[in-house]
Amino acid sequence: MKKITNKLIIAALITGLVAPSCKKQLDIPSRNSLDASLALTNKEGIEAALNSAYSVLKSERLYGRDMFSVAEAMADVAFANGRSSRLLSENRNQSAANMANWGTAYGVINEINLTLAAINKVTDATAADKTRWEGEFKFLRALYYFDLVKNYAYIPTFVVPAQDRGGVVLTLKGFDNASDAASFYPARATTAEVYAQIMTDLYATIATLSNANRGRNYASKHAALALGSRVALYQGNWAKADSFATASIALSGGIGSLSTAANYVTGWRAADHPEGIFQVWYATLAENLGVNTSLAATHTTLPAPGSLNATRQGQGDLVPNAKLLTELGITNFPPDLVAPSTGYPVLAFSNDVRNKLFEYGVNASGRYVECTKWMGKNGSANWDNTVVLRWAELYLNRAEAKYRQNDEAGAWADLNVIRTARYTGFTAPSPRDLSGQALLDEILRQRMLEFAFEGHRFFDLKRTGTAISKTLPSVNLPATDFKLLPRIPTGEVDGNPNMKQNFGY
Amino acid sequence: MRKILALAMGLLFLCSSLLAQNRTITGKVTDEKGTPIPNVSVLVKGTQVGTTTKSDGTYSIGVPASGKILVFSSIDLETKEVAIGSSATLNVSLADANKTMDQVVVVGYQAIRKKDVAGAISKISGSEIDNLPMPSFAQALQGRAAGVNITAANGIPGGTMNVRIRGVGSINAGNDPLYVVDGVQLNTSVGSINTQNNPLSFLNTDDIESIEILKDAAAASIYGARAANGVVLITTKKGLVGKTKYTASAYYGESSALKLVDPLTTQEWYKVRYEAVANANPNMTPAAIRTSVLSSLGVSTSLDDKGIDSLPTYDWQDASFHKGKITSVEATMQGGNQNVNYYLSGAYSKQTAIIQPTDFQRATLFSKISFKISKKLTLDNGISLSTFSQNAPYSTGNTGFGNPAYASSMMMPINPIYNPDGTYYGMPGSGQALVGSFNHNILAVADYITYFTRTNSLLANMSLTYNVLPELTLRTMAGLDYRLTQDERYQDPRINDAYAVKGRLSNQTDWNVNFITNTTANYRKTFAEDHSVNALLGIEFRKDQNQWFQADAQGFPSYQLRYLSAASTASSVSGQWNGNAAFSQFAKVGYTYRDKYILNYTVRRDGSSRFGTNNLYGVFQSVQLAWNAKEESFLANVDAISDLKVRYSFGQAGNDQIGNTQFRQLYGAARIYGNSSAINPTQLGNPDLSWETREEHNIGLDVAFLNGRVSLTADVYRKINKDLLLSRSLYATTGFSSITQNLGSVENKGLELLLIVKPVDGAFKWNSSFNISFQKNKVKELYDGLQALPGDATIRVGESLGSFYLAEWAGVNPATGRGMWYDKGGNITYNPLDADRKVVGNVYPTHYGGWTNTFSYKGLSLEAFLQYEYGRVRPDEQFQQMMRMGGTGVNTLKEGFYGRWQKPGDIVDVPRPVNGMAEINSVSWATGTRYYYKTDYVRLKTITLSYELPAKLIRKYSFEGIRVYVQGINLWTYTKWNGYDPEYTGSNTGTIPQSKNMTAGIQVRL
Repeated sequence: MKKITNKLIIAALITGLVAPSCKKQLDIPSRNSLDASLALTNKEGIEAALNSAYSVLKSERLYGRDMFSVAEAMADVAFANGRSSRLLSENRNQSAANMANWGTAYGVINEINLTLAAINKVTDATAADKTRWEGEFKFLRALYYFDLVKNYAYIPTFVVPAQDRGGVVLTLKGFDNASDAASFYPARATTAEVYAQIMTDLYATIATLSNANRGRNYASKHAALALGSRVALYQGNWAKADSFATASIALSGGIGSLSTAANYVTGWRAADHPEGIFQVWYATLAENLGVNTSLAATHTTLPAPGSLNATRQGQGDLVPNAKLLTELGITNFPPDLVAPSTGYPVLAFSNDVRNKLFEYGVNASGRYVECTKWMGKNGSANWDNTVVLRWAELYLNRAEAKYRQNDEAGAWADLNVIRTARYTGFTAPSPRDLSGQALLDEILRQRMLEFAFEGHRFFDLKRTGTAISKTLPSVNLPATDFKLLPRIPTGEVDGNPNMKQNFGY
Repeated sequence: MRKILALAMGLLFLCSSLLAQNRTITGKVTDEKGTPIPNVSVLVKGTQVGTTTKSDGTYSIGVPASGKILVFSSIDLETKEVAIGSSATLNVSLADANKTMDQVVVVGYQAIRKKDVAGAISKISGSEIDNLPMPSFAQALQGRAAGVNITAANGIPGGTMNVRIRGVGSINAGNDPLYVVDGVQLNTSVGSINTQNNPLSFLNTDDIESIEILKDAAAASIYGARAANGVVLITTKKGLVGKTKYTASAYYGESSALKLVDPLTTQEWYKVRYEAVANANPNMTPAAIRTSVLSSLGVSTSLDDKGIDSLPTYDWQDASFHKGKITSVEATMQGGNQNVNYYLSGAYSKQTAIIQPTDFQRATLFSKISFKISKKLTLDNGISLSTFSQNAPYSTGNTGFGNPAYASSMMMPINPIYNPDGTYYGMPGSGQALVGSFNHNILAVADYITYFTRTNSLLANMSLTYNVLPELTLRTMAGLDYRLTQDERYQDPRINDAYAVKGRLSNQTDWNVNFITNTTANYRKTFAEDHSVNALLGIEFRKDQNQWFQADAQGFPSYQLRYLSAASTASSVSGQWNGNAAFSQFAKVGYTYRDKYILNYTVRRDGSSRFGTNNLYGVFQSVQLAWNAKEESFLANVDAISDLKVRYSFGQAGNDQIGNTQFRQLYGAARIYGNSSAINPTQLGNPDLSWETREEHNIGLDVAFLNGRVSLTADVYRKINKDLLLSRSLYATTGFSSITQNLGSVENKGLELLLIVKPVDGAFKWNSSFNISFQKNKVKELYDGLQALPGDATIRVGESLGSFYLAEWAGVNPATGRGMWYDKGGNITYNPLDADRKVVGNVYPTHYGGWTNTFSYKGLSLEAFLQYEYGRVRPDEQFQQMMRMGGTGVNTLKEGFYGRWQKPGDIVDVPRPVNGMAEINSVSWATGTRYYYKTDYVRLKTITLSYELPAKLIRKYSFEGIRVYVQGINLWTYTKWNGYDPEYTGSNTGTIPQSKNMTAGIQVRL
């Protein structure tokens, strides 16, 4: 019996030895993620957080696709041919078929807020680093908020007061603990407050960043000025739209320059568009968005220009409609857009160089004229850099701003800069060929042509209160229709008495 | 336990036979009915002296002076030890081994007498699931245990099985049970990027001795924090003492599609597409529509009606569905003496699915050895080595164009499959193009790709048992569950998806190492004859580690080069490590009074690395009470009632099935910009995060009449899962979508019945076993008084989990052919809003079960097993895709075509065709409940006709038994389901459906 007792004691001792060491065994930190308390404490951490804030722009919900393609599908220049059933409901302006950047944008806004608060606690960075960080983060916050407010709220230049539910939620402080996040019941700020905050951030960017900073793949003073001119234009602050555009055009040591009629097409074929002031950079093949939803896949089936008998590359879901083709000076395209399988009509092109980016695609459930602005210019398909701000917009913004300030001559001069750069052999007519409404119409028409498939048209219609009218599909949507504004995601309104859903949902 | 009893018996007889001399003992061995049994091993215990019985069951053995006990053993029969008395004749009757096994139930860290069971436990013996052509035991268990709902995810051999014991109690945490094989808890995470390599497929079901399913929380509670979804205990076969026995078996068969759908001809498609374009574009001229439709068929737009009539139709579905093949061979060997016994088995099986190139191939080696080191010390060792390889389909279930299970019925019928020379038609670069949205030659894709997954698994355990005292046993066990999954995923440069990039290859390796060790002390003693006490004390440590890495590359000079080194561009590399650990202490005390009253109490304390620093440990307790009424004197003489037991239990069990680091506040590093890495906050922390707890009351009744001819087991239960590991939605404006907190509760109530009847019991036998389970689920509480979970409106207080919350489809407007929905007021709407949604059906069945009937006469036996499931609703997503009615460039079904709306007044279910599947100023057809159907089915899961060759005939050739059989799986199904098959989990888009099998086999015993 004694022997047994001894053995039991040994067993108990072993148990006793194992037990305390197990507490340590139960602490298994994540090896794939960083503990939050360590993340933003040094220079590398802030730089990595900054990369993250840029990288979100690449997502499909933003400049990966939706900000361009969904906006165009909803506007009056494109036809969703149903090859893959994508963008059909957006093209028909059906209810709740809009851009949906809410969750994506607020996720990154929170990151920016958290990092902005952490910058000053970093000890291994120079004052210059910190200034640059602040500028870049604030530019990005301005851009993310602008894309939110232009989508989810009325644009100040055209509001339907009875249907106006305000701007978007404005948060400038990051959430770093669960209890704050769980007790957050936000309300929408007014549209004016959101625009004011965007301008505040842009002013801060202008004050902190150098003219070109790190080039067109990153924020810069040049980019902030260019974005500021668009924001002011949407705000209806014509003087500021004018002055920002002017400052941006006049900036020495800025980024890029306006293409000419001679080099316009080659500019679009280059990985870095020479007109780009700010672009979303897809630096590696691994970042490609795949054969279904990249910009290239959405807009063209072609692997290369002129390869209309090659193997189909992308889906080519969204193609130009008859109105856009006509305005671009393309004639003899198939009346129903789809070409017969044999002997498709040969297209005729006017002297507008922009129409050189439109050509027949591959015959894939029919052959359509397609837009080739994105077509594997980074070396292979589906990861084209995406230009967010480019030179042509500066002149068109300023032309419109000047017109709104009754400076028709100034507006006409800026319009001619664009016409000269886009029509082979264009010389400004003398005397002035346009004035009054016709001048404004031409400025807006040039915006449509210049930025076809670049996500401007829908917002130009929305901010000018113009009805969306298309024949294919058959849509006639007055500017007062509730479907122009998206539904705020249902989960954001459920259980939050402070949150107002948009009208009609 | 039996060994202890035998030992005690042996000791008892020891005294009386002290004076025994070297002498000869003779006798006869019979079964319970007195039939002589040949080839029974007779061994003098503790010696090598032995013999076997002759064909008349008699034996004669010379016993040395030291011989005290004879051991009688034979496969399939109970092993019996009989003390040698003074008589020279020893006649012995042996009971069926399965019958005696039935008397013992494994309950976790110990085995107890069936009599002492007080919880709700289902037991399936290995013989019930022998020789089924099913890679995983979970599949074989389907319909056989009340309260256990098992569904195959799809028809991929070796694919995922969904096992739910007594419904689902968790919203965001896992609902999978804990699997324990010979004391080793399994890690069931899946590591393949190609296919479903169900880890449970590692074990050959024929090596299983028994499966016990601990259903109520009290029975499962001894497994603490991992037990909330029930526990499945698998005990493998072990060697029996006696002459070495061999078995060999083989079967071969075919599988084929349960159902094929009916796609349109080219002419029908032209018609439906024409209508779709016309209906969507009222402004279009007939000529323009004709041009558009003809061009989408890829034919000349000037084709006349006669030309259209003569267009060809090709049947892609028929070309894609094949007959699969099933092959299996296996052999076992077992034997032993008093000191060593062993069981060895080897098996190989292969199944090809009904859609190429999908298959499953497995080789297993299994060995179990028990070695008695000394009188008190026993070493047990079990090793299961298994390798299974799977050729995966191009997609295991999504809308990939190259996926035959998805696309075969939707390929445009005008597309040829082959060129006249037998090569594939429409390959990229050939100048030929397939028309329609699905422009990949799916047969070429299946032929050219290599999606190969190999899973190597090792499950080993070693234990040392020390019988300190007759009543006290110490046992230390260490186990390893090791699994290596390797994937090769080659997209051949000849196929559409990889043509432009000249081929893609991904190689992935995924390791799982799961180590477990425990030490237990078991104490049993009966005091004053009436009071039996048993106690269990244990500690356990488990650590799981997973690591994987993946490399992707593209750009291959030729399709003949299929390895990473041949690629021109490395496109991506990635890898991760994950781990978790748990440390536990547990104890059990049981008390039985005269076998009448049973009381058990268990407690377990678990610590887990998955939980917050403020709540690292959890304690789970249970109590079980049972009353064996048959033992009472007033029932002792009631012959009609042969057994009567009433059980009650209450227990707690925990659920820890959440991510390994969910309580931590983290920054992830998955993003990249400008070829530089990025970090971003991925998770808000919660240091209070703790277990989800299930609490359950169970009342059970076991009753048998007429000497066991009729027996019934009934259990009712009510369980509450509280402090759910709930993903609490946050407003996206916080930058996060959710945090995990312990919130809310879910209730499950149910009734389970198992009825076993032997209506005829003579030379002709009829056994019938029927089980049914009723199950009701209800969300009791969320948080903050919410009636619905933000972010998931289907989770609503008062409703069942798995509810569908949708606008109700109101059919087709007979006047216009447009689809209609009901709004919240019950009126017709064409644009249903969020507010119009309501609860419509539920994805979990209300009742389900199985019914087995076995008829046997002499050697002939027919077993038919029906499995059924009622009350489930599912969206038939594959059907929805196949019913696009010319709304886009894919083929569609005849039932839609002939059932569509064509003119005002038509009262039909299918709206008029319209391009894009949505009318102008209306929503998509698929909105709301349009494609939601009941999945109710009754299925003849297995039917087996077998014949055991007469002993007289085969024993001449020294065979012990030969059995031949034919078997059918899924031969008959009753269902109203539209699509391929109602049995699946998740989405059925592009999944390989279930198939029916016919196999024929032979088993030989030597």
